[in-house]
Amino acid sequence: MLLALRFPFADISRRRQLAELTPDLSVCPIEALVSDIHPMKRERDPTPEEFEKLLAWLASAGRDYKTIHHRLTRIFTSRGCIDAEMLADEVMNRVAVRIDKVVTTYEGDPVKCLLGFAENVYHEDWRDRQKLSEAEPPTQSTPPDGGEKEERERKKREQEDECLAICMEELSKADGNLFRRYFQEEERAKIARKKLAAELKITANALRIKAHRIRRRLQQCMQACLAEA
Amino acid sequence: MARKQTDSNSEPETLWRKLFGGRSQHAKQSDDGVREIAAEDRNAIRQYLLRRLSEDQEQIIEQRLLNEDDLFEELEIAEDELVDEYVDGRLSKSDGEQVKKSFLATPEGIKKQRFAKTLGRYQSDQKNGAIEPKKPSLLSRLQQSLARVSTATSPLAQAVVVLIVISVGFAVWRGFFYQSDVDQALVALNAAYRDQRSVEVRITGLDYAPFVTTRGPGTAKINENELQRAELKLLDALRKDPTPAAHHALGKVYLARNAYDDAIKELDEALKADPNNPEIFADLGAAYLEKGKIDLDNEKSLQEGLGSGKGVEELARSLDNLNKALTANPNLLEALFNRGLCHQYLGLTAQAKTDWLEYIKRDSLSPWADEARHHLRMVESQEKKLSKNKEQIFQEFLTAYNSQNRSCDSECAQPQAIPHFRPVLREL
Repeated sequence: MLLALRFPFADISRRRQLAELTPDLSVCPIEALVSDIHPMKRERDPTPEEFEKLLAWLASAGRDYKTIHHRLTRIFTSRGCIDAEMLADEVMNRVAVRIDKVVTTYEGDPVKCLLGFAENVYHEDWRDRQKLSEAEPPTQSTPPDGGEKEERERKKREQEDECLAICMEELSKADGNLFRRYFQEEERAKIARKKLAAELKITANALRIKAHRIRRRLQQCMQACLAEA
Repeated sequence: MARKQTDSNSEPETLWRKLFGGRSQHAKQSDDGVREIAAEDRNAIRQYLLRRLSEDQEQIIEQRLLNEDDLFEELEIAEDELVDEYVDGRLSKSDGEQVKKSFLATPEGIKKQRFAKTLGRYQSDQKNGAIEPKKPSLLSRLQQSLARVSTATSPLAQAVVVLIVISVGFAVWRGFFYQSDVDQALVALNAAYRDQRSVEVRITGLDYAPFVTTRGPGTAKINENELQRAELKLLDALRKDPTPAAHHALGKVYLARNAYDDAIKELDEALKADPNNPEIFADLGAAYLEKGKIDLDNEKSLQEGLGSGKGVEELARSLDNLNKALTANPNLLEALFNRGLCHQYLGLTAQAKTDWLEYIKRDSLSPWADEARHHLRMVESQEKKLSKNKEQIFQEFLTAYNSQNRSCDSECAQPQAIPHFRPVLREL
């Protein structure tokens, strides 16, 4: 059991061995491990009662559903999953439909239980993608489109530049100044960052966090701008 | 009953100590709300993203990512930094490949990559001196702001924003696009007199058109349909809501139609509700001026001495209203133009000259200024004639005086001709 908990991202053969070693454990996260020897099968949507119980279970451990879901999505993204949000949904669904069992049989941090399901979902997704890429015919060279693609790309770049300009203008003067000075070309940035941190009387890492927070705001702003365009 | 499973919180921590040289330190919070995490955590996150950690280490990191806000923020920062390094070609080949096939292959990663490239172009512009960003169009800004509001706020906030947008939109429409009946009538009035105007005076708000004097049924280039449309619109507007603006506008229509009594009636009504409006005074002055001109003409055609003085009285009323208009708004060119005319018809050449000079000073380029110059020339010509007349009168006076002196005895102290010339001499 502990092995299963500590090695959730083990390869399939190892997982199979683990599953065989622990046939009597039918709940979190072992059940998830057992299921990954089969192709990924989407779980049904939980009933409202099941979902409420899931929320209550998370809340009892001081966890928030939305935050956990968002972070699971980001973890799947970091691992290169194309539809990370769907996978996070799938994890939550799988836990939710088994919530009665989980609540009665599992003690400990819900996060750890969720991660057990998450690793299983990840491997199922990975396997599906592998199968898909094997089934895909080799890519053929696309015929020339008379420069249309370049033209589209050029327009897209212009749109991005304009959106960034719009979003930069919406920053406060101080934030805009900090952002511009922090994100300079690399060779100049190092000196500028040291100077900026000294001016603001903060550490280099605090400056880095501040600059990246502004960057995240800008990126969100730009995505909204591009979506509208 | 199934055996209860437990997680072992101590396990990952022990592992962490072993792997990263000690338990991760608590994040330090700076004065401005930025919580810094330990250097080993930053390094661990970077290694995690480059897939250099063992499965055990990954498990620990992921568990902490779900639990710790600061570490999760570090994940986002480290991703951005890796994307920047990838875009700039600063990653090693193996790391670059790893980044490319992991998160850069996702839609989120693609967006991050495009953002990093856009930022790179922005940096280049900065370096090349083009620091000022391109000014986006007002429409783009509006679209962008609305898009952001619609995606990032609660339904209540969205409803408030929608209400604000509707209110602003309505205000813009009212301010720039909406035309009331009065506005539409004035547009029609302008259209009616586009080619030619029917009165010598200036009516407020009407564009320039040459004044052509015709006697009897001429071929005036006036659009009767537009004129009728303007009148009907205003009558309708007055029936619905008798505002001073509607009375004023109808007064202008009647003035342009040469129906001066009707014009004066409407303008008087407008003044009752809006007693300090310089434009109404200017148009009322214009109506009295045109009426006075006609009455003066009529009086001249009658036998000398039978005139009632009505024309002069109307011109005096005109002058009074025009003075009120200019007191309320000294920059009202229509009133100044009309006062020049009024002074001219009253024979007050000096005042007329002053008005025309003042007008040309304020408006030297419009076609109205050409008319003002023409009037100025007329006034100056009148002045010369008057000056000549005065010289003649003076000569006659001298002749009379000398002849009386010659015929008068030494006791003749008061020449009889002098009282007759006294008013003229005073002016001289």
